[in-house]
Amino acid sequence: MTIVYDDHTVRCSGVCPIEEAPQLLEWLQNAADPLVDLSDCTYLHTAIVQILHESDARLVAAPTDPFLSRWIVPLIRPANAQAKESQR
Amino acid sequence: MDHLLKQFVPEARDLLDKSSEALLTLEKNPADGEAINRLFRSVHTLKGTAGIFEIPSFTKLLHAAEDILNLVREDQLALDPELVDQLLAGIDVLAHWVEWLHEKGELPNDAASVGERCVAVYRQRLKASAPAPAAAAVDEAAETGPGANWLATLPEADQLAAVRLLAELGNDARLLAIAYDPDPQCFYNGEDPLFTVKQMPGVLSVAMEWRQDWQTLCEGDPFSCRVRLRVLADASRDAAGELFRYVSEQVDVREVRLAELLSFSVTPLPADSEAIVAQWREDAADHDWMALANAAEQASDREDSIGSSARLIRTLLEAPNPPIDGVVAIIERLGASPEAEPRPGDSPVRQLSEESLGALVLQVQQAIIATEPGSQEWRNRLAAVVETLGRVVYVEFQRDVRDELEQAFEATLAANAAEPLLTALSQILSPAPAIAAEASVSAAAATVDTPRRDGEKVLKVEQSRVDAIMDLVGELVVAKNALPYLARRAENEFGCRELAREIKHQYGALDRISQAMQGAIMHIRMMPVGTLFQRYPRLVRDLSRKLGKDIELVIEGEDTEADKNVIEALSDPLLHIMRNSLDHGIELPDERGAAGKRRTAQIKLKAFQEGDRVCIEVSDDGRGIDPAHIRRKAVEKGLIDEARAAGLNDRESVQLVFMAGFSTRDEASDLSGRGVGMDVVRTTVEHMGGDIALDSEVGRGTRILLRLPLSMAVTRVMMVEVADMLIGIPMDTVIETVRVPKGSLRRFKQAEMFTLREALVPLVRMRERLALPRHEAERDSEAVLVCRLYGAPIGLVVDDFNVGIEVVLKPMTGLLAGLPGYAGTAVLGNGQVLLVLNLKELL
Repeated sequence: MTIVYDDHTVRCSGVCPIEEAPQLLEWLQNAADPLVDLSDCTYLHTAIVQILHESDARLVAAPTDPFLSRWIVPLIRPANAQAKESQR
Repeated sequence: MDHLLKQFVPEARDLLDKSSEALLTLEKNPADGEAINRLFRSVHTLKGTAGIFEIPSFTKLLHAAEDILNLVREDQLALDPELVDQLLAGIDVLAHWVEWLHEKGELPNDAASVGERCVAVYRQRLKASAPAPAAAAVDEAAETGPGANWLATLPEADQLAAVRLLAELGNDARLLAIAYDPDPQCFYNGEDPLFTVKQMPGVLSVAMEWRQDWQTLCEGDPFSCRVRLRVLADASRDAAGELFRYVSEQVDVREVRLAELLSFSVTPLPADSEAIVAQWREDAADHDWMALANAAEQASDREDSIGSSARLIRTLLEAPNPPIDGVVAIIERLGASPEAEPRPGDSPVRQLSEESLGALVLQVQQAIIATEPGSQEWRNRLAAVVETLGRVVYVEFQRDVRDELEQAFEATLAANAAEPLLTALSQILSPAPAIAAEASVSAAAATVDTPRRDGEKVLKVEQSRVDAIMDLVGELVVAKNALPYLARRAENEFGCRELAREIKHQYGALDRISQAMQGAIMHIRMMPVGTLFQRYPRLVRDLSRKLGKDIELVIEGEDTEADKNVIEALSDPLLHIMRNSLDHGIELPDERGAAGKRRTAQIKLKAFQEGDRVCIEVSDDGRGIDPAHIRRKAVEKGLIDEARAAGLNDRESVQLVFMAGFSTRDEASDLSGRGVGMDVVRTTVEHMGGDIALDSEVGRGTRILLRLPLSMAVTRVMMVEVADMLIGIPMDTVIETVRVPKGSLRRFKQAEMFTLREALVPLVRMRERLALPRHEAERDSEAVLVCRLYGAPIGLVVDDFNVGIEVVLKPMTGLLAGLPGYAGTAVLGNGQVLLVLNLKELL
């Protein structure tokens, strides 16, 4: 399991493959005000990025992987939702 | 064999045929964009399909070929004859493998090594073409300028980094701008677009665009790929090609130079820009770069477009060797076009097929309406949006909605909120639910696809199935033919004339239906001779290169149709005739020049229909056949004696080439020498019920005409009685039936003959020829069936004539297959078996 779910937060660690996509989607649809923790994550499949981007999930912990942090993180709603609005 | 493989084989053959055809078209006309696309598509489709099977050598070879074709398509590699040879060789290897797959279900053992060799040749080509900046430079504009305008949407920091890098690297430096639009279904192929991009070396910027507007979660399908990736990287084209080799058609790789990177960043200028720009321009005109750098520095904190231009200028000037042209260009542009508003959604639209364009433009416009409603920019934008919407709706739905939009526009402005316009738009779109529902591009693509699929209703059916129906129809004909017998019995044996009439009536109806059915099925089996002809361009090309002759092949009438069996049976004879023509008929260019002919020889392949026959004519304008030479050869080979040779006129002499054992070749040639002589050609053609004619004129050329029945399925035969047996004679050989009184028969030594309208007709007694018992009683007159054999009449003496009927002729099989003299058998209405003779073999 590279994605662990608890009440509020989804924790992605290591490489998250496409197989996780349906469950993640379902969880995000049911969770109220979900948070995403990518601190241990090294890679996200395109499908996962898509889901995170399209969801309301907010990023609480950024990944250390340079590729992820540079190009993927901006696609995910930051912890402070207003921050993203003003970015646009 | 595996079911999938079974489907793959014909498809692969088809695609390979198409590829070589397209390749030849392309060689003739390298600018034919349609042909290169066709070629590329065929190869690509084949690669995709082959991917299902465990045939790595096959796919690898296709990859390599595809890479080459990609370069050709992008005009980076010229398609010279050498390359065409190499590609054709590859196609041959693949075709060979397909046959192996068909026969054995696997590739031959040497596939890996053979494949490697081909791939190595292609790779060599690829490498050789890599340092070819000259060719690339020609197409500079097409390569870079358009299509890469998404560059403007990259984050400014990335743009600046790219500009800085290019400025440092100097004038000729280029970056790669890669637009990667993954297939929405790509996840199912195991692709991960981001991962591919991650492996790209020297990435400077990655941006994602979304195929659809932000969707609510419930609509999102986790397995459809909705991103488009835009990558700017400092990498070589080769690296990109290698990385994206599996998805090359989804990727648009362009090289960008500094000038192109700077050419797009024009946004509406703020009011106070003029003074600043004027100052910059002055500094630039004075070549006072220091002052300009300072001025730019001051403006670089601004949020607007002046600020970004200032940052660009500053970045450029910071380079060790500042690209002054770039700086000047930026300033020029700032002064030149203040009204040039960037068109939103321009770059994604470009990548789409035309059909979904309208839907996408609508989406984009909706997105614009919804973006920052109420702001001043939003208000400014709206007028243009309304204008665009009106036009798109008009084009897409043929409805003029400009008035409605205009009202909504005013309401929107008054309310300072996006809702009125959005509501109006959805109302306008809702009567066309199919389009309005197209929130997703993939849905749009699907709806567009459906009618197209409806258009071509073609069944691919195995020939054996059609043949099975043909056989059944044959049996139906036989069963139907039993009815007249039944009618006769009803009348004669049971005395029911009424019933007999009824049966005959029913027979009439059945007869009509079965004939229509026969016609319909024969039509299914018909195919255009073009399928036969399409291999000849390749043959002519290969041989003419090999022989150093300059030959042009003209094909006419390729739409003429004939039965599949006829066409297939023609393939070998025709091949042989063509080879003869190429090898012996056509002279070398110098020889032609000396003879005052055009250096380029012409071979004409022409098909046409003549009554119930299909005719194929092969003519060339070569050296023709020398009758004296033929006569001499025939005598040398002992085929005819001197006296007969002397008696032959030129036209007759030429026909000697059809004699068995005749070959004029002085030295063996690897081209036409395949153990097939013209005699075999003639036998084959005659076996199919056709004939062959040859005309030749020395120095002017040769013309060979093949005439074949349109279909071999149904044969009309004349039935005759010989010693209480029914025998069929093919109707096309029969001229007439005569009864000859005994007194009119002449005897000359062993041969019997009679005079028919002042012509002597030799007689053959069928009882003797078929080794049946002789007549016991002398007859007063003989029934003579006059037939035509090799153009001359011959009389067959039979016991009596019967009727002519149509039969489905079955060739002899098994032990009887080798028996000469019989064309085959057919079953009669009463169940009796009818032997049908082949007169040419028998007499």
